[in-house]
Amino acid sequence: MLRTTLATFALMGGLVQHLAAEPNPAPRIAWHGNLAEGLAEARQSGRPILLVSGAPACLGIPGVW
Amino acid sequence: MQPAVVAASRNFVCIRLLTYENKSEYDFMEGLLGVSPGTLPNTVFCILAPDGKTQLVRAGRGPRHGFSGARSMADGLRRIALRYPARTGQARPLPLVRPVDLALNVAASDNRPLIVTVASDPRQLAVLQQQVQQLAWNPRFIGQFIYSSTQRQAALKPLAGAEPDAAILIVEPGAFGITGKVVAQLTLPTSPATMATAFTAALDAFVPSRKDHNRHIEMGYQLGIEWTTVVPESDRQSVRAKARFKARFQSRR
Repeated sequence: MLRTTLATFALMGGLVQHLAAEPNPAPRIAWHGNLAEGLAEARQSGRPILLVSGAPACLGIPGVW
Repeated sequence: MQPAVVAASRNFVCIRLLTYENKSEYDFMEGLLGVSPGTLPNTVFCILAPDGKTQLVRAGRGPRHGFSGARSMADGLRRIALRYPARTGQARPLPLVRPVDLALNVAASDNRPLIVTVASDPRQLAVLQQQVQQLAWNPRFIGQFIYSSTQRQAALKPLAGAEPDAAILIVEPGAFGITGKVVAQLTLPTSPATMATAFTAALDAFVPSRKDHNRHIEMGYQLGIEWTTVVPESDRQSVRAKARFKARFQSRR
């Protein structure tokens, strides 16, 4: 379970920054933050969808995934 | 993030939902996972066809049930993308997080600057978003900023230094993402070149903060900061962990 969660956070781009400083800017995924707009783009463009979800708060504290 | 995964992601529409911040999105993810109502875990991963319904990689809590690691995931994404070539000539929309306070929290969590477009007139806001959109997908800027947009001046309250006539704000998020500092702002009229210059300067000046996860959480408790989600958190493990952490913290005070 922990490995799954860590893998998801790493995918979301949240884990790496907490462990070490990154070169600025490291390449990053450009995420839609809105389902309806993301689905609309997928339908129009014919692109498949990489979908993840996470909470921008850990143990109720914001500012971390 | 592995560069190969990031590179492969460019052929996808990448959607990152905020698990407990929108009820209809919450319901959508429950449907993907096939879990009982009110039991959505705090992370979800899935790859879908462009129809938004067909699961190409079955939904789960994370990518590990579909891929053995970053290389496997990059290869898998490339294979899927070959089956779904994008229609060319379509401008990609500005990837927005709304509302502004939530976008500020996401920017803090990602450790990235936030760009907010502001206009009370919806048509003017749409024009602004179009201008920013062209830069958002420029190789120099892709994925580097979090974007939000608002018609309401009141939504800018957490952003110190925001001027009432600003149309585009570039914001450095505070550590907890509940406040932010405006580091640059543009008024209208502006031009793509002016915006690009401002974005480049902001990106060059931005220093991602070093956050120790546990220390950050402890500091949050000490400062009395707590994030309230729109939908009650339903990940039982996470809810139990939060209760344990709170009890431990309070017993030490």
